[in-house]
Amino acid sequence: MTRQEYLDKLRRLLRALPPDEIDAAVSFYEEYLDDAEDEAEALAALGHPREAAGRIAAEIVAGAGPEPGAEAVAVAGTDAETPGDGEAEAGTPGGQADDADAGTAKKRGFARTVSMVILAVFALPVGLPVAAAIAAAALAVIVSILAVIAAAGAAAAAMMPGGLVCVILGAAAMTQNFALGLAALGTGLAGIGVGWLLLRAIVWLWKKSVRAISRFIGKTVLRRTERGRNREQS
Amino acid sequence: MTINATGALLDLCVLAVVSRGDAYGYALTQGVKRTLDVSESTMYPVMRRLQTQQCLETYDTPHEGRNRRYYRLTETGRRMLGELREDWGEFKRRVDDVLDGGDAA
Repeated sequence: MTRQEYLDKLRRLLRALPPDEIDAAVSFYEEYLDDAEDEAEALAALGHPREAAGRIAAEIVAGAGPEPGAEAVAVAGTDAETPGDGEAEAGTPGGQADDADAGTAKKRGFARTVSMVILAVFALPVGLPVAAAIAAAALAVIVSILAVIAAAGAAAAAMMPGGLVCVILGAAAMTQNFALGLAALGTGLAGIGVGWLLLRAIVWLWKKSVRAISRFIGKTVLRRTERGRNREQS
Repeated sequence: MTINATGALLDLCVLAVVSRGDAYGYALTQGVKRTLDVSESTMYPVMRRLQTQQCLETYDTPHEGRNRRYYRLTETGRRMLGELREDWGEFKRRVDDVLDGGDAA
């Protein structure tokens, strides 16, 4: 991983955080690598950007905990103002609050805690929202396929009672008009037979597709977890 | 060494290093790393936490055509350093008590 790749990845991992937080964190590591005597060695020591990103997110969530103190409003205020000019003041989100004691300086509003937890959860695995969207689309396709098969099955199944009715009516009509009754009876029998065959074919198709879909899901999930594990090791 | 400096102990070490003179990120990390086995990626969150608690403040100076951000101890930070140093002394004493078989206070 090159220096630029590291910084880009870090920025991407943190993208759910407020812009000033991202800028402050990325410029810290940028400067760190600028100052390192051996950049390659420093990069190797930093490990994967996920390590730093995870720690930053954890720190932000922990720091936003609802502890007793006095600057919730001040912090919320700076947050609303800084996103546009995340430069000089970027590293000091609480900088504008008055000189509260160090022990009580960590007070944050509950809403901020909740939003930070959500942000951190989304920030960690890079493609999580994208993956969720793809999974939802795949699920929709799978459900549609199964629904079409089920509808065909229902139609085939409906042919059998329909055929049965036709047979009974035909048999009853034979006393009045033998030829017509026989034709109706025959049609009913044919309907039952075709429906029966169709239903068997559709049940077979249903089983096949359910098996294929579960195999596909299993393989995809496995591949993803394996890839994640490999990435963890590299 | 299997005992790690985390949380308040790491805060204490960082504050102590900065108290000996303003420092920038890389120098500070190396200063802490010289004696403690901390990972490079843990340093930024610590700096951020100490800034949020207003123990440290930053200022930028130009260096080789770019910015270098220095960290400086604030009055709050100095007080925090004193408190943590006392806490550490107390902690050390208690651990020693346990190790030497005495009664921990």
